[in-house]
Amino acid sequence: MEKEQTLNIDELKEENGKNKRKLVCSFCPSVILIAGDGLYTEIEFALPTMTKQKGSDEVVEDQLSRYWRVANMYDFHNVGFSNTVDRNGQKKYLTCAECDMGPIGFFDTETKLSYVALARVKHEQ
Amino acid sequence: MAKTYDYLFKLLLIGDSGVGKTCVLFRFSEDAFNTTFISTIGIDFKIRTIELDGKKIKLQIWDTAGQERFRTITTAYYRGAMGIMLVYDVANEKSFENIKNWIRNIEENASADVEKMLLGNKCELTEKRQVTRERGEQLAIEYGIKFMETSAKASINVEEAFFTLARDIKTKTEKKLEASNPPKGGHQLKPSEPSRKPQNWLSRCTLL
Repeated sequence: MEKEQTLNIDELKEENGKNKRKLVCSFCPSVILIAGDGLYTEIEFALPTMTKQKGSDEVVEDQLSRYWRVANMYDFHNVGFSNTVDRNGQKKYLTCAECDMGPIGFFDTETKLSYVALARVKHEQ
Repeated sequence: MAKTYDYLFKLLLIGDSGVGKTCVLFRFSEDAFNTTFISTIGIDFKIRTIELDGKKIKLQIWDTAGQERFRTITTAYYRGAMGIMLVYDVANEKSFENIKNWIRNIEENASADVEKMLLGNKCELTEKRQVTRERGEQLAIEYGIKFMETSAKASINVEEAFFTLARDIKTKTEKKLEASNPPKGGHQLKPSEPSRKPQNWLSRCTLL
């Protein structure tokens, strides 16, 4: 998993803030978002880690702030939406539609905007 | 932003609990020690993009989220559904017999022209099989719907089943569009007229 701080943002986004490359799952080849469909956004939102030990109820979170904002849920190429969770308002976590790994981001049920964490996906040409 | 797809189809998975509907849609990757964070919350729906005859189609696929335990599914769940996958477990006779009840539930609650398809899942369980392929085929013929045996576990035919259902919905949608907006002939709509939503046969009839 790439650390958020080490990402080279200028390499990943166009001048207009859109994602230059397509977003692909870090664990399988599933394409999540086509190039140009996300807008670079800085927003503080902690995401739980993708795996945890069985039997453990402890939720470990990564404090993340770099996201691709997706205006319409149908802009996604392949994605899963979790059941709704209460996280400062009603949110849904986003997952890979193929292998179900996640959260790779979150969906705000009020604004209908989705946010994919740059650190939770691969950026491919 | 411009619309980036040609069609959007809402699909539902229906059948008894335990038939593997969830596996048709979800593949939580787990091992003995670790579990994925998402598996504890569960998934509501998925969006998948497929291409058919050069058209980009978005599929929004919903699981029943345990509602099926009550042997009935509410009208709200069926709202807007254009396709339904009826799933039974080939190693579970009861789940096959219940398909008839599910079809009745669909007839009572879903739109009359919803496209249906029958799936006999877990076909990798050859030794535990209780429902032959022929019986599945026969039931599908009885209801005039398509049939496939799938194995979500072994990834057999799952993708194909969704493509087949999507193709049938697309064909139906295009026929409706053509009927309400014929490319040639006397009933062509004026270009200035706003495009019409697909209409049912009766309301179209009054147009003529």
